[in-house]
Amino acid sequence: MNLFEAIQQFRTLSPDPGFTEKSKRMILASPQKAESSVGMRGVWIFLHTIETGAALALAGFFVLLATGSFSGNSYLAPVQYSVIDPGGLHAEADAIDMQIQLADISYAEVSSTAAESTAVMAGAGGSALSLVSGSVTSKGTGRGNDATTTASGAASSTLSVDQALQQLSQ
Amino acid sequence: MLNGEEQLIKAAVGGDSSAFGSLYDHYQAMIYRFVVIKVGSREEAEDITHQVFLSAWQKVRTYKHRGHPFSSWLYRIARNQVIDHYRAKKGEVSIDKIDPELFATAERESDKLSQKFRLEDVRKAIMVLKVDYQDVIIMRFVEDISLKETAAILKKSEGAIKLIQHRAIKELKKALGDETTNEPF
Repeated sequence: MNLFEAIQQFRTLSPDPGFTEKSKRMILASPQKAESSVGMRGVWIFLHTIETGAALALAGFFVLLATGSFSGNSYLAPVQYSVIDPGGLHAEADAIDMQIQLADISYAEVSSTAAESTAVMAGAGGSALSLVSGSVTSKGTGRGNDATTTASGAASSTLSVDQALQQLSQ
Repeated sequence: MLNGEEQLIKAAVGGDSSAFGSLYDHYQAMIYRFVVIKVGSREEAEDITHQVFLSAWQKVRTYKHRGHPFSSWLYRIARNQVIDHYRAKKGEVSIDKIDPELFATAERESDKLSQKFRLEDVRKAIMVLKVDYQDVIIMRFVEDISLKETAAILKKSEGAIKLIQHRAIKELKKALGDETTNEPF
């Protein structure tokens, strides 16, 4: 006997005849449920209409949200955007000091022919360059920012950048 | 399907108790078998079967004939009743808690029965399957219900029932350690 023949043996199961007779009698003696009245049906239709209407309204609301036609931010956002002032933000950004300083500048080795001139570097960026004539004692390697210079006497004349460079090249 | 079933149903829908009685006589054993395999207890199966037909009698006025046999409707009620039964007895139900004599009687009545498959073992193996698998095994192989009707009862397509049947048999054979039996249809 294979599995299917074994399963088919369940067909021999049957309820007790006494139970069958009693159950049938009890069932047929019980009243059937009455069909729903017109009033109940009206209430049912009314509730379903409301349900359908609410569903459609909700769907429409979500469609508007999805298409961007309606922004709920002004009603729903927990953070009030009005406290953020764009003008104030711009002013604050403009006030930030954005100066960039050239702290380390290396100069080409100055030749000994410029021994008579003294370079005074005003500011690290060299925004104002003046050469002061007079006796100059040059020490070290001759690098501008490493050199220690002594100026004797007051500055007698002020040269332009081109003139200073020309003198240095000589 | 019962001869003259449509007329009987029409009469029962109209409140004719004798017509419903005829339907009861025809379908009661089938519903009982479906239930008893699932719950494994004669008393509980009788109670549930009674509830199924009581519910059917009380609701028969709402029955709409859609071309399927009346049994499709009864099976659906029975399935729901069994589900309610297990839900109500959650934690208490075990596949080992069955009447020891229930399936032994069926075995004694069978001349062909070998020692290879004991009905209780087969039932236990069926009960560990998914609910849909159980239903398909019982409907297709115990009650010989057609694919079309099984599909109508379980509200699935015939293709889906074929697939469920194939998987159910595969799992059942695996559970019983049977590698020899081929699928009959």
